[in-house]
Amino acid sequence: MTPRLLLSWLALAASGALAQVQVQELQLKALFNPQAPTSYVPGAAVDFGTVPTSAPTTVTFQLANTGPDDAILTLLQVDGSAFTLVRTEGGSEKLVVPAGQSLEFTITFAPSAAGPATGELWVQIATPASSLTPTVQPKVEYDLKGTGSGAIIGPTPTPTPTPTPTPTPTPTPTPVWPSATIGAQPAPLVSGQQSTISIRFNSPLPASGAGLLTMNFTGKGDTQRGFICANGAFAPSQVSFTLSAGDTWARFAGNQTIEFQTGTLASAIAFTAALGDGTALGSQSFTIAPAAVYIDTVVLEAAANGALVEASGYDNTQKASTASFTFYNTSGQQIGLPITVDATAPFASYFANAATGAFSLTQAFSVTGDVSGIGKVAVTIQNAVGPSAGVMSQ
Amino acid sequence: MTRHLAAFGLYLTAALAQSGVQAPRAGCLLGANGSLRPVYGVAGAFLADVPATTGAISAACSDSLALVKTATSLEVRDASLQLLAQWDAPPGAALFALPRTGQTAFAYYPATGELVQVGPQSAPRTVLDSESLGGDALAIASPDALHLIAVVAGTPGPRLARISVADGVVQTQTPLEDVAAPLALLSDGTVVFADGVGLVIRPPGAAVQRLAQPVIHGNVRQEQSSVLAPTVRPVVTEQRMALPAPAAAIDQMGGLWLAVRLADGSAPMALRLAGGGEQTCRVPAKETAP
Repeated sequence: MTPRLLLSWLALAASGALAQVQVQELQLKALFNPQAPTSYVPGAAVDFGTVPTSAPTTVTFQLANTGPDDAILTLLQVDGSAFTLVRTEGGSEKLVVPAGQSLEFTITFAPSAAGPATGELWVQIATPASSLTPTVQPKVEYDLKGTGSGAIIGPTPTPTPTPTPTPTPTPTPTPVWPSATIGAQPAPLVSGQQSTISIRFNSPLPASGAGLLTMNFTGKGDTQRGFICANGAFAPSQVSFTLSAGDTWARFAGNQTIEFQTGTLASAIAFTAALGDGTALGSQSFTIAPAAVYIDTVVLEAAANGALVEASGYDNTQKASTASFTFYNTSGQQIGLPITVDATAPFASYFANAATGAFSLTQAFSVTGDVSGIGKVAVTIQNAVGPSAGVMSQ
Repeated sequence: MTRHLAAFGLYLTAALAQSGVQAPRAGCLLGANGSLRPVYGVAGAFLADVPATTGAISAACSDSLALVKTATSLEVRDASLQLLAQWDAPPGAALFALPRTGQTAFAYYPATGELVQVGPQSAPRTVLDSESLGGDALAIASPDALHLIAVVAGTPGPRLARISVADGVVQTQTPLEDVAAPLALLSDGTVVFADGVGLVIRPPGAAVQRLAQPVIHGNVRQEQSSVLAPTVRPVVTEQRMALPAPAAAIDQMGGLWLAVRLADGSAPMALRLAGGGEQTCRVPAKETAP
């Protein structure tokens, strides 16, 4: 059964606006005071009202899962240069929204000029979270809109100079940062992959600065997941970037992208970009889906009174069970039937203490006859998703 | 569960008691600063751990051994980089040939031109002295237990020498074209060398076909080649692979992998040549505690 996600808007802005959005059940509620929520359907507009350009407003939201199953939040994104999404409750560790619980975040409406501004809020979940193969639900969109007032950009009437004995210092204006999109290539992310991550802004940056790109994830830690810095260093969770006025990209050691190693465990990954002072710039979530075992290499060696087969790869579910070995003679003819070994226990024992899905399975075989008659062996390993591709020894 | 199969005069038995699972080890990585790190993981998910030793000038790893050249010694280490033996050695760098598995390996000292066989239990034994090769070795490899092959620099150009390990006799020497350091030699005779901001991977077939051409010197090369071309078209062609930056060094990272250190100091590229294709990925290094 599809769980219902209830997106509750707890308005903490000066207006006291409170809204509720119900995803999947196609119900949106918005209250302009905490006691009276108003409902919207997906696609309806949520109005932030009229906000001075000099005084951005921030609204806190709650994403509530009112369904019977835990849900994985696979996408929570805001588009539109005047709107910025900030995760506030529990960071990204709460990407799994348990049934009956909620996730908090805020959206800041900061109009850069007088006049109307629009944006979109995108929400997507996968359910049930307890499944190895959760079903990704369709994206749900809510329109965001508001109106900026004051601080008009453009020709303004020249005021009549008023003689003053001493000039009043003009406060330095706080730059309004455009919305950022965090992208990954190639997409979707899968285990055992080295991809690139970028942060692109939808308009030129108003000022220079520096910030941090942070990666959080659900589930077990993965020692092989992290950023690959320009100097070759591995950064498990965070890298710095710089911003230059007029640019539309965040730069990692001068580059538009930074390499990212996805690791070997299935997980939901969330990237968050923020300035050094904590000002949020953007966030993006990705799901690395559970997959069949990947066998990278198979090595066949002669051993005392037999043969030794070593299969290396990764199981991003950590639930590998049986391994099947098919032997071939030096002419390429299959020798008998495949030999199946139940390796559930050694896999479980290893993965219990391993912060990785990478493994090396070694299986010894006793051989009666001429061991040199064995030419190759093909190995297949099963996990909860299914059997791996068969990989021949090298 | 245990099953049996019998065919072709072979009878195989698998026993659970003889199966085990552990973290996959891919070899070792030599840093430009002389650190040597064990590498764990699989393709696309490698991670070089904190350094196991420092002060290395040259290093190479197989699936079972590692050889490390320091300023004054040759170290034999196991696959975990634990020190097994240490021997005095000439100053400077070294070239290594390590079979994918096994307990015997070879080292060549450019400073003296000496080629030695070494293992964890045996002191270095000289296979070749400085005179026998007739030039400086640029790379060595071990195709089988009885032979070594070496890319040797000399006049008029580099050549591939095949050497008997037992008696040190250079059995064959064949010219190689257009190879340049840094380079690596694989056990099957494939030469991998840097070319601009990329690598050239020249399998032995390509080299053999080129050698079938008559020796041509100087400015007449193009003209004579065009006349002779129809009869000497290579069957196996060399491959070119782009790199993010020029290669600074090519080391044997493990039994299956080469490590290509890059001149821009970014994470090295691991390169595996198997099945007629190549596979590459970065090898990031875990930062050491301050």
